[in-house]
Amino acid sequence: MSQLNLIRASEVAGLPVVTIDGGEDAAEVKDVVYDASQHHLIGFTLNKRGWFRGSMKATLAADDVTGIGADAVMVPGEDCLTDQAAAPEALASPGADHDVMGNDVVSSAGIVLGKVIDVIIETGASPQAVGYEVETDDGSVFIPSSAQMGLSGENLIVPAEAEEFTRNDLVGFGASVGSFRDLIGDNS
Amino acid sequence: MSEHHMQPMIGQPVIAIDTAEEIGDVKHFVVSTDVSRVERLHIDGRKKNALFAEWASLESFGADRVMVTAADDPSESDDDRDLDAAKGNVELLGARVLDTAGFEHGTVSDAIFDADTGSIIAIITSEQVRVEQSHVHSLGSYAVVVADT
Repeated sequence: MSQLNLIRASEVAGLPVVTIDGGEDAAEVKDVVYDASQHHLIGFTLNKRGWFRGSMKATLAADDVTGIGADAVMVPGEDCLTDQAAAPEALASPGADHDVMGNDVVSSAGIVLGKVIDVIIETGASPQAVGYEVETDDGSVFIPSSAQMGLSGENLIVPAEAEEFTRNDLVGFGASVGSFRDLIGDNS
Repeated sequence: MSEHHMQPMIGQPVIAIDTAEEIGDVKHFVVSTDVSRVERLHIDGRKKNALFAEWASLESFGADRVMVTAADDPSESDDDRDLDAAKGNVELLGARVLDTAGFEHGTVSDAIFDADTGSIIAIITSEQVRVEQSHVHSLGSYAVVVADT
């Protein structure tokens, strides 16, 4: 079982994008681009830093990120920021079908657990989406994502195995995701 | 090797050996982007524009004074990194310490350098952690980036 360090996608927005080879804040995360149909973190749209804030044409692919921490998103160098025209379509023009926020979370047993309010991202050298924060009548809980989940744009269907690994705190969820992956044989 | 701490050198008078004249005070250490060495000193002198003394022109770092070989060695610069250093935009001492995983660890409170060669040996953080130069990636206007441990 492995313990993962996790962060909410909403907390990544606004973080500086800092270059490891130069110590410069090359950009700021504007938004997290997430493909909900594949439960896959695609990358980030960016804002400029400094006096002339505003949207940047460049984007940042998740594969080019070497670390996401509480204080910054780290990239090897400024050349990791890709011009929108050259970026993968999913990143340059994220579609509405990628949206999972506000979807009802329904268990495969037919019980509505709550609504998706955030995507949970694993930090570290290979950042990826690992689950969802779900608002329930009793507060928010965290549910691990898996390829077995179905998504319609209105409903997110959670397999029975995932319910067992639901946690109500992010630290506990880090260990839970590791156990869930061990169970389903996903060690990515 | 002659290890010196950088912080106590800030504000020390800079004296030219050839004229015995006081040129000014040490204002900043200009270090390379990879934080491997001190490239020059920014001297806060009597002139309006910033003066920089190249490492090769520095004779010694004493307990009370920094000595340069000749009074006319320090010169003005139009190099962007020098000017950023003079404005305090790129400054090792006081820089935010950020690791490669994206977590901050205070600021740089001091650095240790070899006065014989100008090589940076280590930085000391405000959390009293010594980070060897081999674990330091870069210094820019936003942060000094260190390896994730």
